[in-house]
Amino acid sequence: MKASIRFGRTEISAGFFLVLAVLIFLDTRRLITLIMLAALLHELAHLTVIRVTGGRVAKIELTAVGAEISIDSFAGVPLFQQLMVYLSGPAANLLFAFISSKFGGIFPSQELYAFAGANLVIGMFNLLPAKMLDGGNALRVLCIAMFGRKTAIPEVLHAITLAFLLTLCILLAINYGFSLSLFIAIVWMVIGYFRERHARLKWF
Amino acid sequence: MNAYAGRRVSPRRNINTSHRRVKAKRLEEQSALRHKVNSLRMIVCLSAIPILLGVKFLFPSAAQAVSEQLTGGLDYKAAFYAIGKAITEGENLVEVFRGISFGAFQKEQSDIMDRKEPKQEDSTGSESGRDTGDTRSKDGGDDKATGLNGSAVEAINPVDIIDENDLTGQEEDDVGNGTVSGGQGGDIPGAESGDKYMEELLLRLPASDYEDESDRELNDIPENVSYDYYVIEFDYVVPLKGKVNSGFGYRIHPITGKRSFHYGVDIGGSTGDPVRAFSSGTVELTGYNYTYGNYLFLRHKDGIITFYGHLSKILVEKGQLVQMGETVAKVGTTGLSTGPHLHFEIHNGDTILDPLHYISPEG
Repeated sequence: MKASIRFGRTEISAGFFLVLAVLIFLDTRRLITLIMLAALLHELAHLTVIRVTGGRVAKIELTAVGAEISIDSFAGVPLFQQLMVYLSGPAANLLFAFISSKFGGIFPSQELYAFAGANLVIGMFNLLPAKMLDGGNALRVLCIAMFGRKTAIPEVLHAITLAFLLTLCILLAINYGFSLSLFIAIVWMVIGYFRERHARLKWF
Repeated sequence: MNAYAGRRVSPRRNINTSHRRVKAKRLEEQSALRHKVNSLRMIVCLSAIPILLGVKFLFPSAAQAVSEQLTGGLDYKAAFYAIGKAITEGENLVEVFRGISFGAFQKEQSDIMDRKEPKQEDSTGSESGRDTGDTRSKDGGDDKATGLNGSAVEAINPVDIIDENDLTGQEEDDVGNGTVSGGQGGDIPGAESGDKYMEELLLRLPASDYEDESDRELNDIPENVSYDYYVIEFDYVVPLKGKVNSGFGYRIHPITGKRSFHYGVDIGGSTGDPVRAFSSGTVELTGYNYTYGNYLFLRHKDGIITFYGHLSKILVEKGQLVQMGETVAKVGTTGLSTGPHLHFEIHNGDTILDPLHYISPEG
């Protein structure tokens, strides 16, 4: 049992508040608002598509490592709809990145461009083929549909992605000096490696 | 174990039930304890928000310092801004990402520089490069002959490098594609030492090397800068006519929000407006940099170099000869810029001069 507060089907863990506090403290230029807004759009896109495709949300968890949406059951849901559910979040981010950047060109504003950047980064990152991310989940259902349940492709890609990200972080740390953001990224990935639960939309 | 055995053989139910009661009680206590611990964790985590916010408002400078230390001095907002802008401006995202990781590097470099004393060095190269003018700026003397932003330049006299490069640069034609990246010059195969100097030059731009404003006098200026009037003994023209949005000197950077030294002049214009060569000379370097977008260095007589930033298009190639007033580029808003303008700098060797001593873009 973990420390958490519940509001209906939404469960917010203590860790979420702690991470939020640290982020608010570290954020000197109100960037956190833009990132949170982009993350909110991401989750809302997931929830909208789940609702439209007739799914039922069992639980929404906000934890120290991101947001997770649990769905009652994916059994019997057509492949295309499953993919839609997973990819809707990143798609929404990419869409908003484009729109926001366009508007940034029309009404020159730092916030609009920064929001576009935040959306692009969140969207692209979630498309990576790691299990805890939307890209990895979409890839998993696709691989299972194509090669059967025993396929090892998602596992391999998951390991490759994490190894790649970890190497990148270590290289950055060596070249540019160690920073908290890199440390957080590494911890996040290590947790991600050991925390595997399927049939869920995970983190972000 | 004994108790368990006793339960099996004992006919007396009261022992059995009392034992069960004890067990249930223990479980209850455990769960109550766990509940208490969890509540405590929740309270601690929830109160972290007002506590940290309070600290931030009460001790803003200390909070800022901690934040910068922990985030490695990387300006995430400027980074996101650059990424967001690259989407529609058609800038190279890979270069933007390189520029961002390079931004963290820049901080490191300036830290190194802060720790070092200005080096006393008299080199013949620097003499011949900059002593041509009669009224040499007194600040830009040899005591400032150190590199602009770090150890790499410090090792060798920058002016020497450029002079040497001028001789060899004409023959070599390998970097004519204009995609020399600002930044990790050392990583680019075949990058010439002169390019490296230019790229090092870009490193400090617009680095707020002077973030600890409290420690410094307001009129304290970066080492490589001079407000003095140095006589330029050749003809020159205004590269772009327009409103001066930002002059030479300290200002609050419109994107990073920090007070930093502005090494040039920002002349407002529209995307596509022609940018003219300050004077005749050769194209020293062109490239793309995360802060300055498409940039261009022109080398003129007497060690005078001019720098043009945020260009939408560069119309000349490295090594090319240009005439005074020739259109060399087009105004744009690439890099960390909020609107179409030309960022223009005049360098005398390794000293940066106030361009408004020489040109009046609004006149």
